[in-house]
Amino acid sequence: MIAKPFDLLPAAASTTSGAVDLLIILVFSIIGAVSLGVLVAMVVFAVRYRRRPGHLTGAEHSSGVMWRTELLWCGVTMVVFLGLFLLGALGFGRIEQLPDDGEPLDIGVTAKRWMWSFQHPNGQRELSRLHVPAGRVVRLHLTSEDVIHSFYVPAFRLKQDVVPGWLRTAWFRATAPGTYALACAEYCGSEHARMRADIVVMEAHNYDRWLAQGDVDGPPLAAAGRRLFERLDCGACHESHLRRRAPPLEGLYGRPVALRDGSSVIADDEYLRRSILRPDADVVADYQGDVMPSYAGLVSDEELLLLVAYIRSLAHAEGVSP
Amino acid sequence: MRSWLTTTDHKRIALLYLGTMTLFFVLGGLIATVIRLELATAASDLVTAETYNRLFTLHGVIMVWFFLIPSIPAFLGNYLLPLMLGAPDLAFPRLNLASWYVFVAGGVLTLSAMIAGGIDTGWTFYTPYSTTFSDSHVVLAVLGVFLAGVSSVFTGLNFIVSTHRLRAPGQTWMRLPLFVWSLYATSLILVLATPVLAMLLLLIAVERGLQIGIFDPGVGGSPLLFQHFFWFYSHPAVYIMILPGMGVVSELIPCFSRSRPFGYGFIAASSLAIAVFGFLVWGHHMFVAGQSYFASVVFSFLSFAVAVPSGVKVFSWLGTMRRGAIWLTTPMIYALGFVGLFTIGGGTGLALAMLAVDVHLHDTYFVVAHFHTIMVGGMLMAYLGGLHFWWPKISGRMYSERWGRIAAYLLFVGFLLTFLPQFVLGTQGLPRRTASYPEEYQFLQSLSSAGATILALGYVLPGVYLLLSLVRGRPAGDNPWGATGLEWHTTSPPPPHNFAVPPLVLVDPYDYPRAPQPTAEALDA
Amino acid sequence: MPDDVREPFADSQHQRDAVALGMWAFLGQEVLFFGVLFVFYTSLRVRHPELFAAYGPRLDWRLATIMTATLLVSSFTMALAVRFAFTRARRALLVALAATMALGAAFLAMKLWEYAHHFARGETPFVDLAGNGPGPGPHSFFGLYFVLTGFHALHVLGGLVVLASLWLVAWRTPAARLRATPTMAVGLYWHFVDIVWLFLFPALYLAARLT
Repeated sequence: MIAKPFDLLPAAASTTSGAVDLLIILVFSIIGAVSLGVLVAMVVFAVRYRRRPGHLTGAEHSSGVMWRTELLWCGVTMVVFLGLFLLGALGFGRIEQLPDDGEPLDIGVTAKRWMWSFQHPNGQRELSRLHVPAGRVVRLHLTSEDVIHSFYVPAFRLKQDVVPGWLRTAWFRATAPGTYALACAEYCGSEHARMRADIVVMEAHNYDRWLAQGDVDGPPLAAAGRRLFERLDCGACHESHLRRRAPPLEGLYGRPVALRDGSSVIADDEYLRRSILRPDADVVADYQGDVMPSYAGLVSDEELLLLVAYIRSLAHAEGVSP
Repeated sequence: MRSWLTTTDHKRIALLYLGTMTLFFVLGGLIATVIRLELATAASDLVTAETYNRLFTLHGVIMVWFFLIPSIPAFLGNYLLPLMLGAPDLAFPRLNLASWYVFVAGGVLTLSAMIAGGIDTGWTFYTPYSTTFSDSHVVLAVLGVFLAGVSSVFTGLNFIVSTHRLRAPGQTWMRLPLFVWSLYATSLILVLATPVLAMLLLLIAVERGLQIGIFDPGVGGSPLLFQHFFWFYSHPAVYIMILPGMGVVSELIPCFSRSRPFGYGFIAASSLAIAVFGFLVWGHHMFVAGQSYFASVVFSFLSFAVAVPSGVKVFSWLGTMRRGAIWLTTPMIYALGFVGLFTIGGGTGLALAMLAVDVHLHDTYFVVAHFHTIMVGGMLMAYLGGLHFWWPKISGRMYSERWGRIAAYLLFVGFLLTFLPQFVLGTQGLPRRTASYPEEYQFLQSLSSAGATILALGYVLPGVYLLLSLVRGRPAGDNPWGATGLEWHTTSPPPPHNFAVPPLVLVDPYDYPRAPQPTAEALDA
Repeated sequence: MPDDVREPFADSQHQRDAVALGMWAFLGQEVLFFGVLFVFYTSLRVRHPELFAAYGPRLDWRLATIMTATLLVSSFTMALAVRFAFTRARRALLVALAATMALGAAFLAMKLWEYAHHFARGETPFVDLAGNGPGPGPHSFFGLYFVLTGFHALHVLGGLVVLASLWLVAWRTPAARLRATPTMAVGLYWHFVDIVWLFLFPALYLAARLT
């Protein structure tokens, strides 16, 4: 998608980019109109009120006019700014809020200097190129192995910093097949400029075919997570058919969890990651047993993605009560 | 020579600052030239990516901490504040001299980091890159900036105490020149924001030097904590850079409109409002860093709030010009250039404050263009306007008015050509801080580089004719512009203790309807 | 112009007002300077409360209580010194300043002993030397401890240097020409440094015992 030199914006290719473009055009029109107005007013004043024989000194300002116009100006700018603020915040809410129609396609994204690697749910891995279907919500789970990077796809009007030590999520729904540029937007060292990748958007059936053809070099993410789950013997406490000692994981993902200190959090990627690394931070309210030991240092960032993928796959499983 | 290095006269210290800062400005400008040359083509062919990263970092560090922040306060403010207050000097003259020495020491440290091999973290020093991954001379550079910060605090303390305690008899707060109001607001930020930066830089040095985990998540630190600290200083720092410029423009426009400022109280109060609100908006640099939705909404709202007093200023300047008697001299052209470019820069800032829009524009060339429009288009225009306005007072000589006007128009055109293309590069989605870029952005990048050559010429010209004026310029007289400030009531240049008779202030500082007519009138012919 | 007044002030009262205002503004920026450290403290405590529970008890609260008392008494002697400077009681001033310095030095000595003690037990802020794996650990807590108390100790040290110069000036100056303003300004600074410790003491030494 090559932009022509004077295109203001790159071709829009996601379901949220239309709204963002509208806001951009609106705010740019206001900036343009006000800037032009100020420039024209200065030129007009400089000519009309130019200093000349017989007009060496400016007129006195009327205090009443001053108060009225200044306050009016404040009022007008406040109203306009409030409008822009609200539009920006509402649009942002739309960008942040994952649509709840249909199952999202979960993609793991790992950034490291200076490349992007991706993991599909079936275990397919890709480097510097990501294939996704058009029309389906793609939910990204982003982490970094070294410094801060930023996942930026201009055509989707989407940007999310990828911070080491945190697990972030972002989503998009591409509207049209094509190849779109992904760039790292946060300066990350020598080859920052070349930390780019292609997002290849395909028709849904082509994506399925591509996925089937791919030489999958590992098991599906959730299965790999399941295997890791077993290797670490997490089931000893968390599995429902045993005498359960720890809170159940079935149906947990995406639901609110009541904590011991009275607050409540949504069980998202970041919560799960935190609970694995630092189990004593957010203890579930009605849980009485010993707190789980920390797994910090025992599982890598990529392995955490797998564990989270497994727990996510249990989102719709039925919990068996003990 | 010796008398200069041990002087406690605020005017001489101001000139020491002028000399030092001009050197840094030239250095930062030369680096910018190499950057623009490199970016004229898509590949990184003139310098390697590693060198490019060091160049843009150094350009930022030098221009922000060794030029923009001290520019108007430490030079024009230092020179003019006591004169405008009718005082013989600043409250603490020796502290003032110390601030210059600390500033020079900081500059030397930073330059030694550059000579030792440079620093490649960007002027924002983001962690964990700066603390763990960069293999450049971070510690040396942050200590240099730390010293520059200490010097800022000294200057700010001096200005605050001087404004409170050294006003001439009869000079009430509402009779202070607007430039003094803006310096006062600036000093509040200097004193209350700079220590946060100072401690942050020390923590970086400690973390990097001693391997302590403060900001590196790998060992239990938080990189987001770093960003909160950094922007808690660096957003107010943007107002440190622009508020004094607004103050200068608030002096120039009444003088060359031969008119009282429209809404004196509004302009003065807006300076304070900007200083206060400026402390509450730092989170708008972190909309996509992963702070909570609620925090982002609050910071977005406050960012719009801080724009209201800025809008008041633009409105008041236009109100001052209306029904004035406008005299389009060199300083006035700069002032009008400032108003125009500040409006564009502030407006694009509003676009960035809109959450949904910022997601697309954050960390792109749009931010680069926005920032440079405020700093280069705004601050530097005000700085040059102030320099030309007070040059006759400082040097006692008039410069070539014709060349002055040519340079001012050249700078305006050069600026627009350099930075308007960068706005479009940003909306098209080109991230900033990239040594190379895809071919599709080539045309606008080249256009920007071409504009930069005009801009560079515009900066060289004043250097030439201002220096020439020292030998060939006509004597300026005490008050060539027919201005009303106290600084014009003494000789040009002023004697060591400023006033032969301590002035008594009986009227407001902008009594232009009864002001003396300019003696530099013949210039207009 | 009296010889205790400098340019650009008209009289000593005027100068004293200006110096006091300057010192208060300086202390304002010091609050922000230490504020960064307290936010750092809050951030670590919120993210890793377990570190405070695990390593907080390793700090010696009994010694810290004695250190707190030392600083409090030094604030009292400093206040006396300011009083004597205004009344131009030169001999008493010299004694009060010396007492303040001695107490400050005693505080630093206890601090150094404490540091040596922690290093001997391997409780260091260093990530590498302590041989810790990745992630938060004792180095995080002791990093916080050493950074916070270290910057405070540097401020005490700076205060001692300034006190020493005050003492020397008072030693050489006849009583009739003593200037109270510098002592007053240093007094403000000294009290401020003590107050910072009054926040550090409970935040570091007592927090783990209260929760």
